Amino acid sequence: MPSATAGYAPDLEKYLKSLKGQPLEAAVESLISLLKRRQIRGSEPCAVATAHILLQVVARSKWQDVDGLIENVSRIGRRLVEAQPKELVIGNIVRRILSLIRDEAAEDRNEASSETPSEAPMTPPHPSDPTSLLQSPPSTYTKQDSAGDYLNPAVPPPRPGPMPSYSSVNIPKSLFHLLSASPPSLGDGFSSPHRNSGNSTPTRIAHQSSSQVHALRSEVIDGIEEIKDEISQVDDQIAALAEAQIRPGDHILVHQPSPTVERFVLRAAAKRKFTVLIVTEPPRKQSEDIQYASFRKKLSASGITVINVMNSGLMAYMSRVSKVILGARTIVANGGAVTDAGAAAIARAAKEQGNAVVVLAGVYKLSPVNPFDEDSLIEWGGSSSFVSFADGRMVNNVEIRSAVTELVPADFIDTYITNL
Amino acid sequence: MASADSAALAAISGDLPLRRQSISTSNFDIVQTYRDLLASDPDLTKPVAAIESLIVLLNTVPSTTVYETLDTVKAHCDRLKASVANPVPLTAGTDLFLQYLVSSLKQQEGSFDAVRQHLLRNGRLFAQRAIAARNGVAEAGWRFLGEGKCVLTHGASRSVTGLLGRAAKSLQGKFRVVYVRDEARVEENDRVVKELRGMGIPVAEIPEAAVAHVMGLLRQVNMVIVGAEAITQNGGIISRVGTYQIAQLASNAKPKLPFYVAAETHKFVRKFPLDQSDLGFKQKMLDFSIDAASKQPEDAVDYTPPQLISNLITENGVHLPGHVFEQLLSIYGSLNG
Amino acid sequence: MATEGDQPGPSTPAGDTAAAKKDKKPQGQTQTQTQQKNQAAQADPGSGEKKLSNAELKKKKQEEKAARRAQAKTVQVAQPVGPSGARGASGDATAGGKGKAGNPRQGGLLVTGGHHRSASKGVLPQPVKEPTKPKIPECFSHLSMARRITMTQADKDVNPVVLALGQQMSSFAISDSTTRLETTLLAFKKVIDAYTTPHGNTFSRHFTSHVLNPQIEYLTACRPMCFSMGNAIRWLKLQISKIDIDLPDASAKKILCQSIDNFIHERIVLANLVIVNTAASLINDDEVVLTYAHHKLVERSLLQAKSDGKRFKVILIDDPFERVGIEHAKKLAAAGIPVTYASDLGALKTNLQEATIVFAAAEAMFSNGSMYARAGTCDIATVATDLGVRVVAISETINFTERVSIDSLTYNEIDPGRSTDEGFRLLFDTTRDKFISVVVTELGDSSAMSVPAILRKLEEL
Repeated sequence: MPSATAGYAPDLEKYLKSLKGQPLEAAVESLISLLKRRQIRGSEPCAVATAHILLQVVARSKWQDVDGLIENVSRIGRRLVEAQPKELVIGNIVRRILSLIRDEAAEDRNEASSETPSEAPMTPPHPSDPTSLLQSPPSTYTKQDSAGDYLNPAVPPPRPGPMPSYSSVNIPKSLFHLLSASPPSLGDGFSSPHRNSGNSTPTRIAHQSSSQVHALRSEVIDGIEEIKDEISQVDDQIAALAEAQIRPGDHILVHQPSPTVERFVLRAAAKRKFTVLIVTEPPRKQSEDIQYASFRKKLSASGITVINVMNSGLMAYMSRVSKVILGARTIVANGGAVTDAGAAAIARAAKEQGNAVVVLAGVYKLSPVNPFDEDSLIEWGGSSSFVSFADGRMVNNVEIRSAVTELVPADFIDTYITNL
Repeated sequence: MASADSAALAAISGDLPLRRQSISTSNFDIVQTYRDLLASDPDLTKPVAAIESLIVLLNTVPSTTVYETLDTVKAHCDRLKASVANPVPLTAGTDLFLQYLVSSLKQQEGSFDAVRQHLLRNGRLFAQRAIAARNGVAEAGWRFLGEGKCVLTHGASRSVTGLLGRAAKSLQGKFRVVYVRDEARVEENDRVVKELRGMGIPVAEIPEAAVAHVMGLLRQVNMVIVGAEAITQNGGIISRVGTYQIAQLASNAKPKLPFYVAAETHKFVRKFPLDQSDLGFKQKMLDFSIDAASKQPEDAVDYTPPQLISNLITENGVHLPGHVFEQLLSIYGSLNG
Repeated sequence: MATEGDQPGPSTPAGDTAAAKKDKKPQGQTQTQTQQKNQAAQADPGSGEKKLSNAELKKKKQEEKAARRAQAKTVQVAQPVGPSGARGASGDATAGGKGKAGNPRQGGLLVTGGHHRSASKGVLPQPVKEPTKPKIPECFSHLSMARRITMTQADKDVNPVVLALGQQMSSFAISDSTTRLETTLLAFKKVIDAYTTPHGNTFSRHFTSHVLNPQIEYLTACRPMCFSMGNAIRWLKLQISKIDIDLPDASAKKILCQSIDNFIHERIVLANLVIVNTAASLINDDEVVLTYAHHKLVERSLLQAKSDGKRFKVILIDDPFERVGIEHAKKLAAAGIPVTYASDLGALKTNLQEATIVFAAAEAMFSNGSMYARAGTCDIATVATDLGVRVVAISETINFTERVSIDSLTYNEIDPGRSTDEGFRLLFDTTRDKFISVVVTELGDSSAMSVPAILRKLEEL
């Protein structure tokens, strides 16, 4: 994230404070407009805001049962994603929360250890559309011992959508789906084929008692709080790996370092002596202060040489650089990282030289989205910083492009460091 | 035999009520059943046809102990595999079936009958599911094609044509296909090209020799999509000969062209080919001779290693080749027989 | 030793000894080192002088001279003398040889061969510096940088025309290598005109060392020479040395100026014409040409192609730290060429995916086929090659050098306005030959691997 983050913090904080007083719908609306206007931007703020608002949804919206809750959350989640489709973190958090809800609900019902809460497969734009192939019940394998419970009408809600499911539970399903119409563990024979074979209606869960609802609500809220904590701890956990990655005498290149990257480097700086090359954005005004001043100060205090590099193409430096450390806004399913514009050229240059490229990202930034088209992930920005609107010849005749984010393909990345 | 087959076929094509067979197992000709199934239903893939044949077999097995049943099934699997030159694709099916039997029997402890009844009753369903899997593949992957894109393909994979057809529905005429002809299979080529053109897709046919040249024309081809007969444990594929060549060229092109494989998950097989000689059976491609024409194997296949494959498009979504290993491990627990 | 006049310190005759001046350099460490060594050198002979025999004295002198030369070499390399530094080093080797033999020569280092080494002579600011003078980061300290001396610091022998030119070069008002070359040669013509051979000297011997060299040093001090200037100066000195001793001044000057005019005409004017036409012919209809920042040759080629009636588009990627592309874009747009302006290397792949050909003008071409050009060019060439887009390197042969560079930190120049750790910028980078599809020169198209062959051919001319 660029150093000029002064803008966002007040907006996010202001928004979060305002959450208390406002009615739910109004809060959602205001978040949507903040997202649309890019007043809340950057992965961490968006993630935090999403988590907060969904917590409010869980806590304050009306719902009778798990399906209802899921529907509420998905609905709001969908709107948030549409407000800012390029910010993939929003979708990630929505999915995490949905998966959390399902897991909690499944736990409640089965009292067996639930499956791993990995990224749930649902994408908000695809409303529940279970195909006949994807069976609803979690695999018989894990539920063998609880076959008894299994029979009760509260079947765990189906996982909708054709998107790949990541949790280990579904894996046997995907190969056996061809053959299994029902979990053969059921002693009662085959009422299940009728229930599950090829139906597309999600089995509706019987009305849950209010105490169950209440219990679920508080569990989900706890879960969301955990997610929020996780987001805030990401930087520390990532930084814990810093010393292993940075060696004394290294020349580390960082590109427009985000707070995560700064923490990472500073942590290593406490123990090692190395050189940091910071690639900056072009200065907006002539007489701007030194960029990344506070970062530089902290580094120099640890005795690290810091050089602000003001070049756009970094191949020139690569023979000197030992490692490149990048922060990512999101990491997509094929391993590519969405980063600030300019990082892809740096990664390519590093690859050419054989330098390692390390990407730092909290797990909440991993998105199951598979970009069919790289270009859809690029965000284009305004050009007023370098061309004035008064410059008629330029404005009229020339198409001006300035990218804000871009995708670094997985081949250019050597290592990902996350908080797990 | 004929009656068994026709009854079997009737069962598959119909109906839910339980069938009864009066033919004993030892006369059951699984090979013929398999061949008939493949011939009768062009939508069946080899693994699924193998499974269907085994289900028909099951019907002929009198109720005995589980283990005897499994033995019988295994014996017939072996017979089936021995009857074809390239058993790898149908091995995917037979292994899956066996594993399914084993795992469900384990859970039932003797209630084999229930399993058997389930399988028999739903014979048609499985075939339907298999076909639906193909649709799943199409759904999962059609978005790779966009406006103005051009995809290169060869062979006659139904998954690929399904995917292209699905794309054509949303992107009528907005993408193009380059089809590589195989001069040994003129009719098949013509059929496929006709089918594609019938869907409104502009198709350019080229000879195999022109693939590198066409890929080198700046941005005329954006990607390659092929089908497979089997997807091996390491994420590579066994497919129509010529695929490996195209994969190599795609990998070397500048820019490197993505190479996608469209195939259903029931084609995953527990085989780890190390190179072209290790296909899982003996294929004699090189027939040196000074007097006669060289003999070419029929239905020759080659092996494309996972490094050349960008993504596998399955009905469960788009995956990297490494996904196969995980799937197989979780189903089978181990990776050898 | 005292007799040699190599001592550091104010007692040295001002303005003469290179070594002395070097010792006064702001490189603190080397300064004290040199001082210490020299003092040690002084101390020893001082104490044992009377006891040593002549042979031993001589040997000592030679050792000390070698040591000083070695120091001076490291100091010299540490100085921002640029491409000429290496040549100076080779010049130094010969000079050193001569120096050994000819003791009375100042420091044995500054001899006629080492013209560029003399850059340091007479141009140094005094050692007393403000403590806040920003420092070049250590890891890049071996690279050249314009030192931008002012006119007042220049040697008294520098011609006013050259003085003005030097200032223009320091301020980067004239920055492109060919323009620098041309203006330098024109300025030298004036210097030649203004010159009269003093009594008892010959034109060919006196002019170079006493008149030309100071001009060169001054210019180098303003901004390190580009390779083309180095090539041209070598050529010029060769021409001077070939002048018949008996020729009267007026004729000699006439011949020289004529040669310079021819040189400019052939190697720059005509060359540019051929190059522009060749490059323009590479553009076919419906091509999309991508180029970086601004270079005269590229601009002219594109305008030429347009006036030839070709139909094409341009994507212009600019250097965000020196937005020369804006004017370039405007000029192209004014000629009716559709231009897309990308502000930096962001989304480079996307921009290149639309392009069909890349034009990159070179500051110089190394003999291993690598191209020396504005920093950022290599990044663009790399991604272009990944995508199969042709990369065309454009350069006059006068920019070809026999030097070799594999990475961008062998030869490079630091932006004098951004030379500290608070803001550091390199001006150039080196693009390896594997990323270049074709090199366009006035001798025609060639592959990057043919550069040495071209160099050999040029030697013959």
